[in-house]
Amino acid sequence: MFSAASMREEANMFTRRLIPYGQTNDQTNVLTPAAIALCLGMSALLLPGTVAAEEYDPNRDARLLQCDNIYDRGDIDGAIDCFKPLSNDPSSFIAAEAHWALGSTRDANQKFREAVSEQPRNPHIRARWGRLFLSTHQPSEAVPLFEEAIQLDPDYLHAQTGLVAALLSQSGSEARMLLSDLHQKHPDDVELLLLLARLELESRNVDNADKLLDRALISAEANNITPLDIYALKVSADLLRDNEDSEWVQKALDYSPAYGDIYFIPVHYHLINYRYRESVALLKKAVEVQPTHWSAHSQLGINLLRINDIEGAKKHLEIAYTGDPYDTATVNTLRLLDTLDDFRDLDTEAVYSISGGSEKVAPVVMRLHKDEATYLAPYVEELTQRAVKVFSSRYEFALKQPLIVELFPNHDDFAVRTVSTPGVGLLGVTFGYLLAMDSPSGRPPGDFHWGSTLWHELAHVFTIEKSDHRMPRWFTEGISVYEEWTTGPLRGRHIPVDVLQAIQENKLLPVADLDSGFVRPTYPNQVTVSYMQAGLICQMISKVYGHDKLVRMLELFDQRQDTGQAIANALGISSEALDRQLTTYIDDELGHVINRFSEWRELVTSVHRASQDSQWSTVIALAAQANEIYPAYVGKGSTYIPLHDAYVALGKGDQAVESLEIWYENGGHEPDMLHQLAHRLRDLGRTAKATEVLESLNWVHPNNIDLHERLGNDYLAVGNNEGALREFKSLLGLNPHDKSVVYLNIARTYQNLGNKKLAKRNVLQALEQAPFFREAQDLLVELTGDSS
Amino acid sequence: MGATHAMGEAMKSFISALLLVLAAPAAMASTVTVVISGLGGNADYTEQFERYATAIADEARNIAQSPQDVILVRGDAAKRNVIMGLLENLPVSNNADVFKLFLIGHGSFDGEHYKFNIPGPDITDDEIVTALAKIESPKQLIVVATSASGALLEPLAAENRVVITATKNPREKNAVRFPMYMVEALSDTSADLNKDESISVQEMFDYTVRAVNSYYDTEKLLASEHARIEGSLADQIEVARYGTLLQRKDTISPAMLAKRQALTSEINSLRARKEEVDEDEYFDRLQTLMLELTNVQRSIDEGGS
Repeated sequence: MFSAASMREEANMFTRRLIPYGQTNDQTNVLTPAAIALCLGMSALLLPGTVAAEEYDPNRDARLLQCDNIYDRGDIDGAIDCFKPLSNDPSSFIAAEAHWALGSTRDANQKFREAVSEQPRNPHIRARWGRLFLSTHQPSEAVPLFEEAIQLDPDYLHAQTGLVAALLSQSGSEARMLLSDLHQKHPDDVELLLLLARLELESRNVDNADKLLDRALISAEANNITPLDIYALKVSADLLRDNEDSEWVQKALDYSPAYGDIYFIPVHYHLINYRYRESVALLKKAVEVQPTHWSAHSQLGINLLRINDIEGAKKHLEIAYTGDPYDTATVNTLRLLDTLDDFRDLDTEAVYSISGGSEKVAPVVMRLHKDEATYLAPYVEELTQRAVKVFSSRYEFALKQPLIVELFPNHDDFAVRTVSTPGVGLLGVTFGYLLAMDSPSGRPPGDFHWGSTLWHELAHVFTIEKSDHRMPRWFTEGISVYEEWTTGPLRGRHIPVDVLQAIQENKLLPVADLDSGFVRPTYPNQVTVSYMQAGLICQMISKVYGHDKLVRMLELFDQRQDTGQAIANALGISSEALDRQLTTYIDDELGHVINRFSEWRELVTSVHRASQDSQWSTVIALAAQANEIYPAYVGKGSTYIPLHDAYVALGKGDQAVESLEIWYENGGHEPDMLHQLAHRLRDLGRTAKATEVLESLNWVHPNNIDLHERLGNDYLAVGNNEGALREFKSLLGLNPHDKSVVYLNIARTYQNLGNKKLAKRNVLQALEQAPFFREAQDLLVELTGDSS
Repeated sequence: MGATHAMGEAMKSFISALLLVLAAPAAMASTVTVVISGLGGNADYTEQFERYATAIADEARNIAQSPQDVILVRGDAAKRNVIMGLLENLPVSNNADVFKLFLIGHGSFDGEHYKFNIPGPDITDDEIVTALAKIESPKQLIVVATSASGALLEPLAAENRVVITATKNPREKNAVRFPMYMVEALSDTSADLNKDESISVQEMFDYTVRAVNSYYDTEKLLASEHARIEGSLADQIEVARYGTLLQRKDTISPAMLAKRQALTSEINSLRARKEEVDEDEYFDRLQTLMLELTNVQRSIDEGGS
């Protein structure tokens, strides 16, 4: 019955409170390798739904309450003096609470364990222990403790609320239902009102949130509950209304002058709306009023990093680490900063013009790992330059700051860069003028089309900055997906099969509520479904109303209009009407697939089964039927691949090539198949098409020596000297076996371009590698005119 | 040694012939190459090992002043008494300028000792190390292209010697791909990175390691062998030759070769100082040397003197 508790032999706590700035607690601040490994293994997701622990404890001991009150009024030294003696209290439970308040969370954990052992039937102790885990960002540890408390007392509200808070941080639907049920039973419970208000704020339902907070204020006053958290959410609501001078800040500081949370709590609502500069401003205020707010220092460091202030980030992360060496976000990000020493900043420029105006130049910094900078930089540079040119024109926006493009070969480094913890499934993220993503070498070959990811993120830069970070999530994601399909480096509109199924099952959200599909998904693939829905909406707006309406909507979002207002003012219809239009659009565009979805899936399954059994005639017949229903499908399980195999097995080379070509033209990009297609096209004498296919490989799997060698020679042969130069330079970065040949090819390319100086320099570099290289010797003689 | 006592008359004749080879005058700058193919264990491996050993010996003969400078022990001859007789008598003579030994086959490690597998009692690491310790050639190459050969890397290391093992330690016990790709390196001109028509030990090793790694990558197998090289003379020992150098080795003017060698040394010296020299000055100087070398090389290629 109490297995969860008994297994919790060595819990790990990482927060600290009430420790004056500059001091550390009893634990060493030198992190051992084992401790680092432990930290990295922890879940450190931010818990926007959690609330301060002690204020809502219905059974708070009077002695603890007395100390709480001192703290709540901002007398931190007084609170420490109050709690310290209680940490040696003969009651393990009181000692646990005192240790927790003093920031000694490991001691608190130990004392809670002892208290549970002493009073195994006491639900309160288990609920409080769960709250300790909750407050240290470990909801998965907290949940079983709350469940055990509820088993002991099924109506115990403190445990039930704790469980809801823990579940809210992990998933959506179950917790929301539970919260709604509890609120109906306890309509005036302050903690429940705050949880509900937070959800409303996340959905930008500010008026609803305000009503809940007003009710919470009345209830708090009636029950003598500290109102500081309510004030902080009031500030959040004002911020979402663009009122940055909220009256509630002063009220909170009057109540408790060192209450840093009055700035820290609202930061969450800036962050989920990509407002990093504004978050930094608030966090600076938080650490100003409460220098010991280690979480604020940590978040300040992390967000300074997001706006490329590396030195500032380091300073605040080190302060955070001094005060709380066990905060996983702090430790992970400091480790990331160490790895940045291995990165090189490569400066370049992107040329653009708006509305046919004069050409301007935007500075771009490519931050690439030193081991791959040479081979990757030409492609990052080319795609970034192309994107800046395209998006500046399409969205009528000139970049106002240097654009920073970071690519991480280690996915966990990228994950830490993104959300301060390893193990997330993201591919890329944009913080405004800085974007970060997985490098193509960060994942197995062909695992993702990195060119499309970079294109997607670069589109975000323009939508986020043009709207001053004010657009809703669905809109920026929708534009990025739409641009991937429309102007990106990969052909076709790629909609995953499970999204088609979701559309068939009517799981799409109204556009006015589409953000919740990203922020609070209620089923496993809802985020992906929401991406695709947003992309389809933007594509439809562009087709039906014109691309300029998308640009207009961005301007309206910048003017603080919400989704409904922007749709009404840009398109002249309501959001509900847009939803109806989307249904028609999807029916027109995808109805032929969705209406026969089950039939198509069965056919695809049968094709692969027949392919496994080498029943080639069956493969050909069934693939034809499947492709008649959904000819553009080239994703996982595409029937074009077994169709190609079948034709190869039957000796029908032409049809094999034809099937792969259709697959490629629709955006198929599996590297091995692209190599095969290029090879077969070359055998057929279709060298130009083979070169085009090889070129497409650069955007999916550029880490390949043969690719650049072949492509460089192809370009050199047809006089595409710029292309050849890019390929040969990239090839050098991959450390080929024989560099002399590459240098010679670069020399020849420069010779073609009329640059004799660089031609000579490169042929000498070829000879530096291979002094007896006859062809290089001949070229040197030719270039120097020395034939003595 | 028991094996020596067991030698028959035929074997005594073989060893006598060997002594003649090793007693060649030092002034002739001789190279002696010994290639031994061990026990295959089955027909496939036996055939493979003999083929590799023969190919290595063939390439060695291309460089050698005389075919007698290359000793190939394989097939029925690869018996303990023959091999031990050979190893123990190597140092009796005047030493060659360059001595090369290739061991091709299976190796094993019993937790304490490496053993080169041959019919009958295997040859142990101690026996190999002791025999080779007496070699005084100023440039030596020992290649142990067997499983578990990493065990010999350290014991065989010496100042004037390059040691190559197919594995990094004795725990890599699976049959190795190394000798197959090493043989390929000797006949593939792409191994010749400086394109001087001569494949050095270092070039052979680099090519082989790349090919072995590529094999395991392509087959999506966990690599069970990691070759190692020790010693500083790998660029100075030749293992194969092709092109003009091979075709006209007896007619190229020694003076031209000496000139070519002098220019090569000068270029290497300049390259070593690259970081200390102004970039433009470096390339200007390099250009002058390269043009001189080109002229010399063209004379050699065209049969001039």
